[in-house]
Amino acid sequence: MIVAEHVTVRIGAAVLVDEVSLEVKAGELVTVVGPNGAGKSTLLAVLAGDRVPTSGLVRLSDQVLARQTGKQLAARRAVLPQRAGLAAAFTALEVVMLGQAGGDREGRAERAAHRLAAVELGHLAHRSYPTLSGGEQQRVQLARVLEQLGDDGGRALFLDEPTAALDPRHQHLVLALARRAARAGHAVVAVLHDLTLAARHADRVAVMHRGALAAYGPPAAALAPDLLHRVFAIEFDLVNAGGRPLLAARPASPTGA
Amino acid sequence: MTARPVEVTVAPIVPIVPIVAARPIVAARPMVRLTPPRALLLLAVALVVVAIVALGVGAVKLSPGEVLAALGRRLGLELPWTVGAREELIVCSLRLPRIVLAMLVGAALAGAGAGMQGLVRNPLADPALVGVSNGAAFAAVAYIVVGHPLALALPSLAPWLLPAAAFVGAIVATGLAVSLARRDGRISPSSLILAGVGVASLAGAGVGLMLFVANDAQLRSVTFWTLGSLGGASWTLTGVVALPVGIALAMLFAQRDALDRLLLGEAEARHLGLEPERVTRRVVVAVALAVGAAVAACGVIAFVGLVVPHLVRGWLGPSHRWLLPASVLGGALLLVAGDTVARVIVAPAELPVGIVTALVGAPVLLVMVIRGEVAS
Repeated sequence: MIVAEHVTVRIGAAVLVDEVSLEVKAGELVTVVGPNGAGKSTLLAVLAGDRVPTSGLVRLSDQVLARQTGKQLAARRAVLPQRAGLAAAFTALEVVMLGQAGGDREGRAERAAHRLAAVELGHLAHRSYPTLSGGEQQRVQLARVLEQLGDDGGRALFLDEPTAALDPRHQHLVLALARRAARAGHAVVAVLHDLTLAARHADRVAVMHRGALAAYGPPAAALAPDLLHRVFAIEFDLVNAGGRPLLAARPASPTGA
Repeated sequence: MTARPVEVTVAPIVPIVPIVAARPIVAARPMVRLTPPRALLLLAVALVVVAIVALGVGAVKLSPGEVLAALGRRLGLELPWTVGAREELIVCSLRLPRIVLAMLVGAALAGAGAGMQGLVRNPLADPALVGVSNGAAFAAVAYIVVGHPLALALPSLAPWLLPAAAFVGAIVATGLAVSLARRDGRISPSSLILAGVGVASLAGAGVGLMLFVANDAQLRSVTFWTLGSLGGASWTLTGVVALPVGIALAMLFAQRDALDRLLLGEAEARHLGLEPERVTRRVVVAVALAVGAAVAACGVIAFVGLVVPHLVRGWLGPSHRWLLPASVLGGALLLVAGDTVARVIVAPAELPVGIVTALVGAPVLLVMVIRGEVAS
């Protein structure tokens, strides 16, 4: 559904994304991991159509992104940015309704309320958005984005560090919702920092290193400790926690690693 | 928000014990006791009541009943009160055009203020920010001081030259600010504010220059004009102002959902399929039309465009679906009331209405600052 072909992004002499080619199928949750400055967010912006690559192209449902109008794109993909700048005193419910395309207001309010319940914020539907905590705001924004996406499948969802401000329970909740969107037939791409979260929820993991794809495959293959050591410059322990993978960085010893 | 509270159940997606709401549900907005449609109705009723009272105020005092009778007499309606032709003339031909003009100008200023505040995502924005008021002021003052040859050349158009000059000045200043603010086809709110402030300062300097070369009589009309007055009201002027104001307010209301989405942030609005440039263009054109027409008709009237939308937002929330119409009604209400005060407080003389709105508006703003309500 999402196909990137030789995508490169350059700013002056700096290469932010280097010849990345990948495909994300409908029904799939792909997480993008990598150290700071590896080009994760830039790649996501290119895939989502926010940014035109210096060279290469991206297709979404067989349509070249660069030739789409904003309206066409909005009907084909939804994006959850890293930080939301909303400061207006909308209620949580109103924020979610901003993601909806149209229809009668009663029905829309009801759908938005259900969406808020899905991110475990049903009880705060009428609270003013700026009074919510950072994590709650992030979940309200996710609910808004999911309302834009809809449940019919066939679209793309891009999440840029959706778990950044969340407690462990809600980190897993957000990824469970992302997976559910994938199972409904959407293609989902999420930038993550937590490798364990990526390992436990993703169908495939893209590991980025200095703008290029260092690995792209199922979590067990892409998150191999030796590769992670090379990419992140820190060693990882892969622990089997009750049959599920757990990746923990090993602090470098004072004598040098 | 019309939506009544919807009953929702917390459906956990992950099989973990559901979390109980840890914090009490605090009232969303401190002042909401009224649904927005009812608030609009309340404002409309208040506007009619204040207008009827205002129609009775002046050298010839009339009761609300007599005012209604005078209006009814003009419309050919039978009412329980009776008045003569003189009262009908006073109400319908002298006072009503002025009050309708006050409504139009108040509506234009407050509606434009609501649109501008939404566009630049700053609750303290004012329509004057895009240079529109100062541009109009410069053109008007320039006409007063050096425009005599023009008036002599076009004697039949002479009464219209001052408002026309002000209107053209407003549009030119706004156009200049917008074109200076554009970078790569994009207009960011911050560059719009900066360009607007720059153009406004330049126009302000031009006003200063004109004042320097003006004679005493010209200075007096300039002063009067820059303080704002509805004294020049007539049915013709009211009709001429109604057209651009009506178009501008319709344009703004058409952008209500777009303005709501822009509040999410420019990137988010783009993700929702919006073109922020297009919204900016339309809102700025509407603001220039509305404020240009208002300033042309009655000079610079301060604070209506700033304070009214700000108060309404605190009352009804930020959604432009309600904010825009409520600001329009609130602005009309404030200016009708303010102009009535301006007419009677130093009778038989008249205070410029801009002084009244500033005297009311500035303290209201300060109270909001002190209470910490001036926040987005």
